[in-house]
Amino acid sequence: MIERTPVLDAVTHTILALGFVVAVAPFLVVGIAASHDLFHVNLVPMPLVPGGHFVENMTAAWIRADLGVKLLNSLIFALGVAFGKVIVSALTAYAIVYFRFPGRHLLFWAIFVTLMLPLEVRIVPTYAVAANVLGPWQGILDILGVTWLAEHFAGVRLDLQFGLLNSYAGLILPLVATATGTFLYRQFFLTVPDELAEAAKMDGAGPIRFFFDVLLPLSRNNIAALATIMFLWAWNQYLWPLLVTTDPSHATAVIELKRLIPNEGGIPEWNIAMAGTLIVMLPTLLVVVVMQRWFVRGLVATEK
Amino acid sequence: MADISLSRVAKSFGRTTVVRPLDLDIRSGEFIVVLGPSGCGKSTLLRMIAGLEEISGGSISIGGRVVDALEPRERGCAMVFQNYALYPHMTVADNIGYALKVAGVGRTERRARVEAVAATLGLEGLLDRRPAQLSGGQRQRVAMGRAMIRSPQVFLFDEPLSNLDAKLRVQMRIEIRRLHDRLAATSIFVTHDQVEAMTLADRIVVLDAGRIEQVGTPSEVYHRPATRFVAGFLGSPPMNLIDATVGSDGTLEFADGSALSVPGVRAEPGRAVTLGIRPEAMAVGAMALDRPVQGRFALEFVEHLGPTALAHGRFADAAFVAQVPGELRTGATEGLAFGCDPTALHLFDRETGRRIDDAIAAGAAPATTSVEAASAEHH
Repeated sequence: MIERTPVLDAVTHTILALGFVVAVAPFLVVGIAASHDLFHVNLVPMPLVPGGHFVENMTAAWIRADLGVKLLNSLIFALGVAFGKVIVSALTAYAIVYFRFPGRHLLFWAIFVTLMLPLEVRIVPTYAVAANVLGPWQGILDILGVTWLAEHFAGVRLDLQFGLLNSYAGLILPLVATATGTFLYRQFFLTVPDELAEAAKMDGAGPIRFFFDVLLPLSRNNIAALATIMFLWAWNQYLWPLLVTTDPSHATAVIELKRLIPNEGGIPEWNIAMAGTLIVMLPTLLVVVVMQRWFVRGLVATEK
Repeated sequence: MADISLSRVAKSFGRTTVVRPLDLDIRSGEFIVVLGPSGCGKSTLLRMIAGLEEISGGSISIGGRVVDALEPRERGCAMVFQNYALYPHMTVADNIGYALKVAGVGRTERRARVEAVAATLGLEGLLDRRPAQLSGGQRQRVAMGRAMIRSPQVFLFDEPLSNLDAKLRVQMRIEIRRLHDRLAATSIFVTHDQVEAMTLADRIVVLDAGRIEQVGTPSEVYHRPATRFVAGFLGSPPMNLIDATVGSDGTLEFADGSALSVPGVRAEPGRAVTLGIRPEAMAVGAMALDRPVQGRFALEFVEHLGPTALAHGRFADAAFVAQVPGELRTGATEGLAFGCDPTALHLFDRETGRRIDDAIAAGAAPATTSVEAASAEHH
């Protein structure tokens, strides 16, 4: 529809411009704050003209928070979660959409229900499992009386221990299962014509071949979209990495930011905190810029 | 090359029966068309042969081997789907060669075989394109190429022409028949289009509500329909079907009190029947006067088709169509006379819908030289 509506155009452009300012202003403030020295950053109001201490502040933040190591940790963590989620959700959705097995609907609804149980809600049991992955098995053995039998007759005390605290696996694995991703894939798989699966069957391709040769290539937009969202989500995780990584060697960048934020009564070095924020923000910004096109395509529509 | 034999094959989804137990023997190299209205179970039948659908009862054997428990890939069948079902992310060459890739055929041999198949289908220049960049007819060809590449014993076609425009459909129809003759495989072709059925088939299987109504050559099915359903389904315009009762003196009596004198009618008097007359088996106007069976119907309007026209009207209080010469404009107010030979009449039992064989003595028809009579002489 093409119409000439100069007034409406002007109004919409104004709203757009306002929206842009609202979205960008916080970033500008962070950037400007990161360029001032300790005195200027604490003036009220803070000067909105950038100062000359940008590089100096960035270096200070980098060294003080040991960001080289922490960014690498964050990268491993976020990539692990993103790809773990892509793989797990694609496989789950494949099972739900393409296979008829008993309990299929039950499984589907069980996954659905987990939408209502985000990490924050189940943080204590999740932590318990991460602290000792074999804990639940130990519990089962205790209840069944196997531990008791072993102790009494074999003289062996069964105590299964396998902890994941302070490890990448402990950081990544508990976050890998995702109902949202499963639904994204399920919706996509439902749009793939059944005849494609049947054609593959006639061509002699088994379920695994069909999955890798046909479904995965077709869903590359979805993979990109899901991986992007989940990368950003994982990068910004705070609570879980804080709990699991007691040893700073495995801490993520977002957690280390906390150490840059001035304590009450400490020196209010907001300029350095802001510089650190900028550094930690940068990778996510890059991912969004690079993946944007795919990301939108994967969420908006299936490929024609 | 493989015979296909279905014995008591049935399919039901839960409590809905889609295909009733049916028997069918298909000779090796035969071109079978399964014809029926939508929902008659014809696609289900095809998919059961392909192995895409489990059978609920009976047994299928291909080439003397019972295939009930075999996976589709082990049955030696290839299938062309209605929507082609090409893999959208693969090139034409990859689409055609996918079955070979799965089978572990090496890259060079695969390329050679794909090129050979592409050459027979006129796809040489398109091998590097994606399905989205092809026209409907080209996609259809790729789908056929994909079926041909494994040199299957059996070709299964699931309404492959229904997504093409009319002109392409005619062209692809001829190509499919040509391919069948050259590849000498057994073909089963499912369609609801009677023209495709008549032109392609060695034998037609007419299916209705999951039941085989008739199996026969196109000529048999057209000239001697076994049931009232087949009579009404084949032919365009369809056969006129009018409920009647056999009278005592060589007549058929209709519900509105009118009667038609049929020399040589043999069905027992009083039997409830359905009379069938093909629109194209009749002569009208002055030409009707020398025919043994003569009647008159009220003309309502004439549809001109070019060489011929269709006269629509009412006879014995039922809709009635006769094919008439193209120059006929309107009819007289007292109605249009029609005439035909007794052999052009079909009688069906009104209860069972089955054809009443030898209901009309063929000898009663006087020898005529008209075109209509000549076509009726087949039986």
